[in-house]
Amino acid sequence: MSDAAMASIRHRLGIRRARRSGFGLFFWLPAGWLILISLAAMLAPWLAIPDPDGMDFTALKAGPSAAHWLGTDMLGRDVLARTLYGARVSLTVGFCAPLVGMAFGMPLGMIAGYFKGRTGALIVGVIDTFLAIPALVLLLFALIFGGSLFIVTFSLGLLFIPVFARISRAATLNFSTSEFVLAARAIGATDTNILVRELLPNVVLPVVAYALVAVGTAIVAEGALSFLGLSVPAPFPSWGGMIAGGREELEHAPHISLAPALVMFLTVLSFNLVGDALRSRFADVKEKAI
Amino acid sequence: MRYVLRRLRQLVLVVLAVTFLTFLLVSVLPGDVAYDIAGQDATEEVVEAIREDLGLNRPIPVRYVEWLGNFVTGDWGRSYRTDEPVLEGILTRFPVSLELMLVAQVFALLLAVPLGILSAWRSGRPADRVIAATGFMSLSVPPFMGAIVLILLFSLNLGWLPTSEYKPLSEGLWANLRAFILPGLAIALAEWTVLMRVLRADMIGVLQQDYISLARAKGLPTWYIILRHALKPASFSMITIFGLQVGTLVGGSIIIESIFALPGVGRLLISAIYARDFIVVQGVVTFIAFAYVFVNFLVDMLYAVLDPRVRTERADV
Repeated sequence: MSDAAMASIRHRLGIRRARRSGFGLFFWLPAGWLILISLAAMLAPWLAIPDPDGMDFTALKAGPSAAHWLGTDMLGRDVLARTLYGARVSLTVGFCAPLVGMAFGMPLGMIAGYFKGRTGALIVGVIDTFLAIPALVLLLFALIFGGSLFIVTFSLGLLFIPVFARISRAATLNFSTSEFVLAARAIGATDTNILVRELLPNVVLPVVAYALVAVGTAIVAEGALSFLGLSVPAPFPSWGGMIAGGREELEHAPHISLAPALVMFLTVLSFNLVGDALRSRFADVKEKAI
Repeated sequence: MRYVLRRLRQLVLVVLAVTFLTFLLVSVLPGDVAYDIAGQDATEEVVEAIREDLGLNRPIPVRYVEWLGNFVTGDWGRSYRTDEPVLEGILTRFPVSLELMLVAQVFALLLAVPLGILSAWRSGRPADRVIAATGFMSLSVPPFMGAIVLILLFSLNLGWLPTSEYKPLSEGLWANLRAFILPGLAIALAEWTVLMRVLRADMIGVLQQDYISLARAKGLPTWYIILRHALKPASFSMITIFGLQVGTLVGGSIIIESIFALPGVGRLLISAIYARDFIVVQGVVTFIAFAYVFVNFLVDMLYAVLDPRVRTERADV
């Protein structure tokens, strides 16, 4: 039996073992936080929170109170409401940017891994060149056409293409020599058929596990852009923008910056923890292949 | 030799791709710099004259080839705003970014090496777990957030370090270095985890080798085995990652330099972007890309020198 087939069996056993032993506290706690923040972001317009753009001139830079749970910022806007509305931006970019990278990267990587000859070498060359371009240049997209959620998401998504391509290629290489592919070929399946019906279901697992870690990265990147004022336009709340806005008041009203910073930290940490737990469980692809 | 040539070819390709891409992107920039320079009340003729003057009304490929020709001979153009030569502007700011990178990487190593060694030596024990958890948390703090927390802690509450008081080296080493401690730390906090993890993983592998068991059997002290026998072979992957980080940082850090008001390359870029001074943007991005690709090239070469297997690696492996 080939190594790949053994790996695939071990892989399945691994999943079964995992189900029995279950994930620990460090999976469920962050997972719970992610569900909570996602729900709060989605339902923000219907929650009993003040208007994120409404200014309360009686309470400028005020600390937490019954009316404003997390206090108010320099313009008297409710920090909690703005943090929850900011989560809409961060989570949208966080989920969609890796999807863009996956949509382009996975087919590329699978083709490169399946057709090993000249096609594969060409794609690998292009990916390597792409990877060698500093992220900054591609982010110029966002800077130049900047301001819209779509452009920010799309340009961040472009950055993820090479990584997803590499993971998919490594996984495809791993599975393309296994017996179920050989069997499919023997009964006359076409290349497209093998790629879609035999390889895709196996490649998708490690890719999705990595995607969760990529969500954290995307949220951080969006935060950096909005911190510089290069993401969604100004009055629209975003975490990075809020942290940047509160910088001047750090000495007297640190909550303006720290509240969104803490929420962002917990969210990114949760994605990393959940992604890591899933990756060590489902992904047979070794780090060095990436 | 073939390996070196292949890498060099890629280096040239990447620089060409980067320059063309930025040129294209920056040229289709909405909000023409000519309008900005002319002011609000300017007539269309004045704007057109400025465009003519700056050579902005010719087709993009023509301008790109011309720019590339000048670029190779060291003429990177002049800022539309300040008339400062672009290359000169970059070179005067480069030492600041370089110093920031050095300080940050020193901090990152100071954290990563001892903790990585400890973590590998005590793998699976409480110390290892605490380090792993700390690393994970540290990894989830983006530098701009780390910077805010560091400012709040060390500048505003404790008053130990300045937030934004860049002084040139001529005013004394300490005065100069002081301004780099917090920004360097903010970057290092986001970077050390990766270094530590890679070192730990390699170190655990090395510690299982026979020659380590032999050294142990001979009765050599643990610290001696780790430092003299294990550290060097275990640090290969860490050096690679370290090199990649240097490549990313050498062109300056936009965010950290803006927060701490350090006059580096990153700050030049962001102010040029805000001012729509596209020839400066073009120059800085090219410089950053070139620095990045060149450092990566050096690291690959170093790796090939250290490990002969890399030299003979086929592209399709």
